[in-house]
Amino acid sequence: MTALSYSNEERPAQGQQLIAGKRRRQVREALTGYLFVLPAAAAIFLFGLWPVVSGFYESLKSGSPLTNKYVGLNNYMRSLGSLTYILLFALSLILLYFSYRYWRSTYAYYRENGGIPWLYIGPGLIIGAGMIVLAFNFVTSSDEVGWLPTALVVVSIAGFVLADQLQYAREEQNWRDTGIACLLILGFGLVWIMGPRLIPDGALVKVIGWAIVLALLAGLAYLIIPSLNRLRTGFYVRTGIMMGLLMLLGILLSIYTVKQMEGDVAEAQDISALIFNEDVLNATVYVADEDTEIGGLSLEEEIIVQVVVDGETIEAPLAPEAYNQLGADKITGLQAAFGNNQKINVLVDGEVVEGQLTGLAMGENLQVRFLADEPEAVREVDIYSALEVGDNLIRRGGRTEPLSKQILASLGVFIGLATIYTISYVRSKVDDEEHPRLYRRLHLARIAIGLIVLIFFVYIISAIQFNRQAAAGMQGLSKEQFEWAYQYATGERPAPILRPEILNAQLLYWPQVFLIATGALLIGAAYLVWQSAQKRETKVGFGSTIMLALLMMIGGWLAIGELPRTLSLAGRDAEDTTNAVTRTAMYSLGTVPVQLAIGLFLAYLLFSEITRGKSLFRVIYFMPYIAPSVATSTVFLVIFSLNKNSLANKTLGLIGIEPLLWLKEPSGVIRLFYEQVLGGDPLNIPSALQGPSLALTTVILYNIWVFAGYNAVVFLAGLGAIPTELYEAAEVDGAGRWSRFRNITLPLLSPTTFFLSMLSIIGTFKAFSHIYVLRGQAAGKEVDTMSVHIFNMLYSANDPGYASALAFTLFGIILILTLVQNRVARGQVFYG
Amino acid sequence: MASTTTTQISRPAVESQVVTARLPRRRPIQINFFRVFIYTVLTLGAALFVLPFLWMVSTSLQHSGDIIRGRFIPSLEFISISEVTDDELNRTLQDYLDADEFPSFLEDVRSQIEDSRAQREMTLSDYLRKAKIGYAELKIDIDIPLINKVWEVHNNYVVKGGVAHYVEAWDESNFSRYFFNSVKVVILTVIGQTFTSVLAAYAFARIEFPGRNLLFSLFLATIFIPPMVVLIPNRNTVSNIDRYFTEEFPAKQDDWGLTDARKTIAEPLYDVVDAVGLEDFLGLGKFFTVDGPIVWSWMDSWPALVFPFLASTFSIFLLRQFFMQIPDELWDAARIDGAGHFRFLFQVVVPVSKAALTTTIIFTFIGTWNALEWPILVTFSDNWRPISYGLYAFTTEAGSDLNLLMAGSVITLVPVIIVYLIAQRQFTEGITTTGLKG
Repeated sequence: MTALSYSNEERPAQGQQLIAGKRRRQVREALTGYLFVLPAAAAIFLFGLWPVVSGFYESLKSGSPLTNKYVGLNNYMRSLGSLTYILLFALSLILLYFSYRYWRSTYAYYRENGGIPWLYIGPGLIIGAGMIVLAFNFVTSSDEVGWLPTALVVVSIAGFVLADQLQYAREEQNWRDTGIACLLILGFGLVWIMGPRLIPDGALVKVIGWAIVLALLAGLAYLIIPSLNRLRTGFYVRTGIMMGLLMLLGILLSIYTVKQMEGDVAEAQDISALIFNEDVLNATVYVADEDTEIGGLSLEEEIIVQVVVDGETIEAPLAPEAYNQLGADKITGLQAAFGNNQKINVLVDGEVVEGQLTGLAMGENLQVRFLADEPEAVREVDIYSALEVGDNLIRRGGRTEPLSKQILASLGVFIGLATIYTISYVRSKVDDEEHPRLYRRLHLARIAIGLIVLIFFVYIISAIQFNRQAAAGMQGLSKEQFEWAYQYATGERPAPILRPEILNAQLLYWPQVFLIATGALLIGAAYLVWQSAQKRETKVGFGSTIMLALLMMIGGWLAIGELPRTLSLAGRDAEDTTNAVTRTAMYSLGTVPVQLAIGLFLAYLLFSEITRGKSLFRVIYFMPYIAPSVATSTVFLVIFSLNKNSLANKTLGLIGIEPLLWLKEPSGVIRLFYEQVLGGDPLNIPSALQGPSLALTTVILYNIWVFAGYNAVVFLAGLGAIPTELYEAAEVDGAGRWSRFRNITLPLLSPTTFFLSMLSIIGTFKAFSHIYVLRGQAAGKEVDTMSVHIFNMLYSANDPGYASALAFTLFGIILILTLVQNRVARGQVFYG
Repeated sequence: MASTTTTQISRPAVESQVVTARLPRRRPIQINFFRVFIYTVLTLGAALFVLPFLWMVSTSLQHSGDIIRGRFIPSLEFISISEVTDDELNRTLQDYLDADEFPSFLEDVRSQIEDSRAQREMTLSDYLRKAKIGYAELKIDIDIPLINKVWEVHNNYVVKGGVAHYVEAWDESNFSRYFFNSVKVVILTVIGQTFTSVLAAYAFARIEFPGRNLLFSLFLATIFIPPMVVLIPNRNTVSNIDRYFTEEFPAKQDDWGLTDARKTIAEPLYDVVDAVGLEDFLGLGKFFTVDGPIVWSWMDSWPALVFPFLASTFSIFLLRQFFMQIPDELWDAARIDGAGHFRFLFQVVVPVSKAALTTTIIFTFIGTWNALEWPILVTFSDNWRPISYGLYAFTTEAGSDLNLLMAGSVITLVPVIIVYLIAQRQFTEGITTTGLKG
């Protein structure tokens, strides 16, 4: 008995000890694990993952290291041109779609389990807003912990607790707990917000103070977590948060996009309104005659400036001789701009003294207007004549239609068409004999809305026409005329970036895009009308519907006809990016299929019935891959040099082809082939159709040489994995070599092929070293693929922000490619 | 039913008949043709793959005139070496002419030298240094303390022909410097990376800890990030990192009182540095200076070239796959013998997985040796410029001296090829199992 009771008492204690020991061991094990991973993790986080975050932040900042400031998405806009806006729109739509998906799943959950899900939407929206503000604070590098996001998050947590209580209010009354939880949360928020402010300055004290605050927070969190655990509807909380966050993000993003876009267009519109009006039309400016140096200038009024004279900073009036030898080219409008540190003459005690100008803000210029002492050296010039820029434009005061109205109009078209579609659908359900009046009214409503749509459409088209007139006027101005007009209207010289052609692009681009979108909508509607025409029974009805459809189609095509003009309006940086991407794509298309085919061929030969020298061949084929790419590409520089005795030219000489320029040759291979080999007349085809330039082809050849052997070795491993019984069985069935290859080898090798093609494509997008070496001897930018372009922007142009934006663009392209390849492969690749 | 059974029975019989009937017939003629074809194609392919390497070597051994003429076989003698003494090197060419003891290796340019006064006044050593027509002075100076008396080699040679380009590239174009820079960087990277990778791979393979899978997938995610994305922020990190060790702390940190703390921590460190003489540790440069705060600029020095590559996801992944195959029994046995994770790792796991370790080491070696874009960004001078950057800079500088350029290429290439040939089996296996480059 005693023994039994003894053991009975002992056993749980022992068990507890065992459990405690096990726990301790587990903890120790985990600590060892962390210790082991720590060095690698530190390096990978610091140099592998953190750069992605900080690189993104970098891409939001302006280029030069001197004026490093936050510029938002401007770098992306620079790199992608107006494509950025489209991408942003797409992104916001995706976000909204995911928000909708969360709503759907919430709704499904609600149908199954009951509850009051909409109570959670409000707090979800609030917490979403809080997170967005927090992220924004972080990105714009506000130093302190923003109180607003904290407050929002706290409020929303309280909201969730309350919602939970309301949900179960009928079952159990637990208001005390809720109160405590809410109070704790509020306390948490207060400490978080107020904590840093309460603690006095002073180094050590502050550190200790913060430690206390952190300890307090940890304690509070420990208390709060269990009460948050009481949230029995974790699902609703989760979906509420996600829904709110995504919805807000989507909406904010689209608003941001529209604002940015409108900002762009509005700037151009303002300027066009400023410079195209009767006032400016009738104005004349004074311009120095060509080749004349104006002897004397006097200032219009006295100007006090800050200068450094003999190391002393003083304020003194500008001397009339401030800039007395102005060349004709410098005196447009008899005005000059001085910057900091410029030598300038001032009057000190009636004497002219030379000093250095200071005291201007960064980037600010001192604008000075002069009067010429010798009036004959200056001539009067009309800024422009109405005939040149179009009477119509001037008479309307240069007014153009704002973009927001056009966006609204195209939205109106969209909504109108959707309404018509809905009405038609409803009408088809209504029995016309039972409700003849409703039937007719629906028809009338349809026609009315159709008319409204027509008005909207006409508005969009005419708005485009107005903008086009302004743009044409802008185009017609020479650079000087534009400067004079701008200066006359505003009294300032235009910033260097304000060039007529840029304003021209800004005026037209977005209106055109919306016109095109509307056109596409109309064509879609026309298609639907066409379909419905087939159901018409009366001849008149059929005819009129067909006519309507045709009219809509013509309208739509008219609108879409803007497309080519729109595409030609990209900026220079965007053009560089597009060229780099095109080159990379060509490079990819040129290398990947060829090197895969060669690799497969070699691997097949190596694998089939050869016994000796297999590993020797493998070693040789693999050599280019491991050799330093700088060394091997240097050899390619020699082999493919433009010297007529270089190996490549000599080899071509054997088949009677003239020596080529190789890396220095910018024209496309198709054209070269036609002209040099077939001996045709000079071929004038667009550059896109000429194929990759010969320079790029040389790089492609290098790439094939390097990677074909690598592919062969990987293919060899894949071939070894195919069971030999299959071949034996096929041989017994009488299958030939080709059909065995076609029906067994290829399908069973598809995972390897897929893997290799993916790796090669991504590899060509990342390729750098060899292209960079070969580039040194290449013609212009002919071989600059995306990676090299990025590197040049960073290293030669010293523009890290822009380079980061480009790098992230490349990252996006690679990600999309990977996803697409995965998608495509799903149906094609045969696993096991 | 009956028919199926008959086919089932008859088929193996037919098959064996076919096999036995075919086997003897297979050998003689038909296959041989195919094999000849295969070997021809394979050899042609191999020739194409090797040709650029051969071209590199042959160009490096050629006279510049022959390069322009597009020859393949070097026309000058492959190599000729003549021994000279210091005294001979210091005599002027005029002295030689006067004494009529003109060195035989200069015989073919004798008339040129006789014509030019400037050349006659040069010492032989100067002339060899200046004349870019395939002569070079090679000093072999082996001085091994232990066997000093037995094996003292202290000689001058004049080499003529292609080898001269190598001597020139190595000595005058600073390739020796680049080469040893690369060697140092490679050694540091290999040691560091192997150490971190072995530990991390072991932890991922053998130790249970919370967040293991998350951490591992985070590591794997870095493979998909294109290098261009991390290049720019990493350069910022590397170029700014010394500021975190100096007085110029950002003002924000000052408020936290960290600068004071750092001073007190650093004070005794100065004494240590002073006492041990760590200013120039193992020839790795000055990163502790005694008289001021710790200034350890990473730019243009080895840490910039080594630290970002101290961990490699690829190595961790490869080693983890290998460690996971080690049977659990070994671990159990080690546990019973009282070994902990550390001892098990270094006494059992590491010796067992030599093959995998070799693979990762070779990958790291080749990756570090071949790297170009990162060294371009973080080195400005010859002090730490690694060989691939040295060669790249040489392509832009050397221009017409193709033979020198190719000699430089060969110098860059040789270590990689040697390492590859020694360990090519592991290497190709590593590639085929993971398909990734380090």
